[in-house]
Amino acid sequence: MVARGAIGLSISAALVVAMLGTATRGFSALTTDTARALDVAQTPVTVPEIGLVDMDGAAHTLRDDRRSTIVDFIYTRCVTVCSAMGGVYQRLQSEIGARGLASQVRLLSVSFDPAWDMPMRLGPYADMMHAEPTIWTITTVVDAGALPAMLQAFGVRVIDDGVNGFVHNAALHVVDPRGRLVAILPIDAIGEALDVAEMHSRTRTARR
Amino acid sequence: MVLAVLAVTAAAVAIIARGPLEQTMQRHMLVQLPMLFGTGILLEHAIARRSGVPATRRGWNVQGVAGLLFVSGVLATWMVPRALDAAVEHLVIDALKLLSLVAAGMIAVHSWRVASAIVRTFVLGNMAWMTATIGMLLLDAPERLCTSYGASDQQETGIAMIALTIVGVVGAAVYAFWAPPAIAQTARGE
Repeated sequence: MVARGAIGLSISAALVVAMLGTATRGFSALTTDTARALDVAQTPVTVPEIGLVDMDGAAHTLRDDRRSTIVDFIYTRCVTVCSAMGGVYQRLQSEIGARGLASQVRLLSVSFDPAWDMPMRLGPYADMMHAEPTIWTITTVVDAGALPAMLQAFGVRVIDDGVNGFVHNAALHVVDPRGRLVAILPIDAIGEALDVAEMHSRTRTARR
Repeated sequence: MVLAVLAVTAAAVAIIARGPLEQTMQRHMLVQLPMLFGTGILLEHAIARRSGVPATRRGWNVQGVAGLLFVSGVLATWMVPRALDAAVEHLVIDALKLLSLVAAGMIAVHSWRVASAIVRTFVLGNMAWMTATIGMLLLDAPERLCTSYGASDQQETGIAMIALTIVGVVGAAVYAFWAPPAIAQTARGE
């Protein structure tokens, strides 16, 4: 009877450790965002090559530049997390200038609301943000059908907020010139994002 | 029979109304999860009335400790924000959630019956602590913890979980005060 009791308790304890361990990515992450960031840091993810279009109607992709790209996802009507992101991107932009990283790092904002954020609406937003065209490009997807795959690859989840807007997770996504997502960092990790982006840029590799 | 029908109905509602029930964190954590756990409780009562515990099953769950540890583990797992997101996004994970919670409900009934007052008090205290802590965490977190749910939903869920803890603890205290002999009598193990 004592042996059975000990076995029973051991099985139960093992199950509990297995369940909690699985739920928390081996006791390393309580949230989906943290787990995703750890996964990407460990194994970079190649993001789908999706057609983007900027305010002038010019086409872009995530692989059309020798520079690394810091990507964020926004919608221009957003007044909460996106305006914070706007501030963060303005600081990134001035840091890129100050550190002389313009040939290694670029900024890319992608709207996940192509129905509203047509190219003609991206212009005023870019003006409002004082986006420097050589550093910071504001785009939306050409084909809305390609959006879910892109958001999935970046680990961005967009949900309806019930009042004609969206709730979404915000982060700095660093993509290397080959289109590999190499880091997902918190929006206040400006210095770290620039360091990682510079490290992965082609210009830097060429210079070595 | 009535209990079995009730149990199956509750499980069916939890599955069919998956969409609306998992649309907000409050409904997911405070309606659907308890529904599934309750399904297990009803199911175990329905089955236990028909047959006693066979000799081969005795001795594994001394004082219900092994069982209640498993139950606490299941409940803790489905309070992890990443687990909730996964359940919303992946049907397979949601199925695992259903199975684990129903199993936990069934095991809880059996284990509670054989647990002594000390074990019961420990488990209740531990659950209260866990629920209140998660509630405060949800209330205080500066960021959204679930990618599936908004910030205000998260805070309201936090408040509800703290309220639930207070009601549970006060309820348990009142019960313990009014029914001490019943609890004392169950302190006998399996």
